[in-house]
Amino acid sequence: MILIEMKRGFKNIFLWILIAFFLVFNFLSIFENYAENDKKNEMSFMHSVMTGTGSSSAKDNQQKDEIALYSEVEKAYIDYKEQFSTLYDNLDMMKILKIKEAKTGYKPQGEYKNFIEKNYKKLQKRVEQIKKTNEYEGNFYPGNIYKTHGFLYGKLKRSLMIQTAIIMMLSVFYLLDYERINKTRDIVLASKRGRKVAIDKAVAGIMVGIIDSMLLMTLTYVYYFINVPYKNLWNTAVSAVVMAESRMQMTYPFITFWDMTERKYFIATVIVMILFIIAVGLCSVGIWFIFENSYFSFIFQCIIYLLMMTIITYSWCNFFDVIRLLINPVTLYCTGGGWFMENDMALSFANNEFYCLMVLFFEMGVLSATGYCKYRRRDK
Amino acid sequence: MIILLKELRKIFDIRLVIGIIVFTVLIYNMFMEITRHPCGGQCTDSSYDIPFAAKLVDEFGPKIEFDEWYKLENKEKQIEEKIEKEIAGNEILNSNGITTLKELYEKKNELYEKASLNENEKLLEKKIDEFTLYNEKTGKMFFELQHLENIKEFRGIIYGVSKKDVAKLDNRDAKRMTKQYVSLLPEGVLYIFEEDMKYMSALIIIISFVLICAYQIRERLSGVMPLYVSTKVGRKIFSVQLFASIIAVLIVSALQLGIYTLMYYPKGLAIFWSCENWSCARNSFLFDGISFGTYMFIFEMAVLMFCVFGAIFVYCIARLAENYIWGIIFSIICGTGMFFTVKNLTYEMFDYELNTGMSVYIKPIMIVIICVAMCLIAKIRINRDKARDIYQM
Repeated sequence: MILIEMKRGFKNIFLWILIAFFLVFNFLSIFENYAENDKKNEMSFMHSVMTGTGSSSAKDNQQKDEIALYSEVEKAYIDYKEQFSTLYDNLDMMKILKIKEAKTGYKPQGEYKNFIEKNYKKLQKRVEQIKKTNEYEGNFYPGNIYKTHGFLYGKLKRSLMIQTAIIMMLSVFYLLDYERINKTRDIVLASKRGRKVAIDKAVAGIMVGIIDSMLLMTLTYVYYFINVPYKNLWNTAVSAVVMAESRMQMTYPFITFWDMTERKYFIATVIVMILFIIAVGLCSVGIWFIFENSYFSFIFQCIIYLLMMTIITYSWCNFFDVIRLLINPVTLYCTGGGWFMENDMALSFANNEFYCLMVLFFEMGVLSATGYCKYRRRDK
Repeated sequence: MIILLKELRKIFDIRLVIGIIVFTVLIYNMFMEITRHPCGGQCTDSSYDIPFAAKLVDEFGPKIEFDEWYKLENKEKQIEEKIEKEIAGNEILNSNGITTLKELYEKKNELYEKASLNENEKLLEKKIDEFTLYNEKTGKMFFELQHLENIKEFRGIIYGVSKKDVAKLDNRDAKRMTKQYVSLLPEGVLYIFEEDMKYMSALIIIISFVLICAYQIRERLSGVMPLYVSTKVGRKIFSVQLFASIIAVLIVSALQLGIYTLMYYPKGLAIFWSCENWSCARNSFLFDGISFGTYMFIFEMAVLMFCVFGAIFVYCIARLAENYIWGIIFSIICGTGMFFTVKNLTYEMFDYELNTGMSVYIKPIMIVIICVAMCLIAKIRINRDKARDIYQM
């Protein structure tokens, strides 16, 4: 039954049109940042400089201006690395914390202050570990110039999170509401098997949503990596100095909670994104069982997410901030560019993304179960 | 008329209206500049700039002639006197030999130009920054002085236009660029309005899709379309539905724009309505002789026209949708297109660009063209509905 429902979900042509629309949007965004005019050639040159492969076109053509350009880029890259090589020398995470508190006006009190300071001391130990193991070395696109991390894991990822969430919601709502829209609900509910079909539809909707979302993510990332080659760069640590980008008017490296290469970081990000959209799917299931109308369910879910985004901006400077962020379903979206690393002061502890997901799954599980019980009661 | 009212009742479903109200409040909270005002960053250095500009307008009127420049200078003297009193009462500054405003500026520049500072100098620099920037009382006065400086910079200067370009201008433009007075409208108010109109258009477009799609899809799913087509009166209902959709969007747009305009009163921005529509930091407007209030009205009417005539497009899209999911997908795709169109058309819509070779009226003309095109589409739609066979429904 689940497979039949999944087939029905995949046959919905307008969902594919929406995926195509989102793809065009993402391609335009990547094109604007990394493929427009000479940017693509520049990225290719930079990649060959970093990996020491040399400019293939320069070797083939041996044109003086291309060789000169390659040398120029190589020199600029070496200068950039040298300029940023001292970033870890005087890096003090407690000082970073004080600056952040001063800039944001966020003043944690009492035990909560001790909690945050303890987390930042752990981060300082991580800094020492990075220095000891030479994790800060490695070649990558200069962070402050190309902002590849900020784009890939910030802007692009956030767009993908919204788009995959919409696709998931529509997949679930389409299948769950199918019988009601086609006026076959009474026939379906007349049999014992038919009364249980809602669960199959919910599972099928979530599966269709996952597959469609993964397709969108795959095509988007493929286009990104075509324009921004990562070959031979996957083993660079995310904490490398060259990858550092300015944030909050400070330039300091990304201090990950564990030793994470670019490969591990990317895989972990994709896993968390998939788990996030499954949670969105569960939320959609729960809301549909309550409203039994796909239109109102969609609007209600969008309004809830917007409301949560408004609430996330309020803080109380105590432990409640941590709880507030863990239970808020949009926290992962808001901390977008800073997963698995030092980011928000309240969430400056390892595994906070997975705690958020656990709480999210618990909430959505309760919502779905409550919704299904209400649906069954109504049916009886 | 009765049918029209009944169709309007169908459009304004109470559940959707409640959702729209909540959605509007959230959008205002998250995106609208007017909700954040007063705050720094709205083409302003601080949250004090625009309220201070409002006080100037209240005191001196909407503009200040060069003959009346002494008024600004007197105001500047008053603020400087207040600052000097504060400096005299500040022990830390006094102990470092700073007793007057002039000494404060000199010390500040001296510390700024030094390559490295010792501990005492770093502490003094921090105290000076606190006094001039972060202290609520004295920081406010310094920002007010800065605002007065910005206005004074305009006097006698052909702002933003080089002498070479002035020679190319015709008499009308030369007259525009070389005024003998300054409008006291701060650039921040123009920024707030234009940014908010962008989100306002998006808000109205989203609400149009929410209301009209739900309405049309409900009609389709309830199976009444074949019934409408089977009688003469029934076929006329389609045009009534189209007009009802337009009127619904007109009501929503008028309410949204009206509420937005009314918000200018409690925010203290209504005082700027009488100022001429340019500021010393931005005088590239086509209609700089009109007041800001009139400019706001014209701009809002352009947005209203686009959204109201856009309702015809929304209605046609909603008629294509066979179920709610299709309706949502169409809304996302078409709504995004409409939003980017109105955003690009209203961005610097009435700005005067030198030497672009493009008519300055191009954007308002395009809005009119879109409205005329929508009227044609409505006419085609109505004729098609009259002529369609029942099986095509």
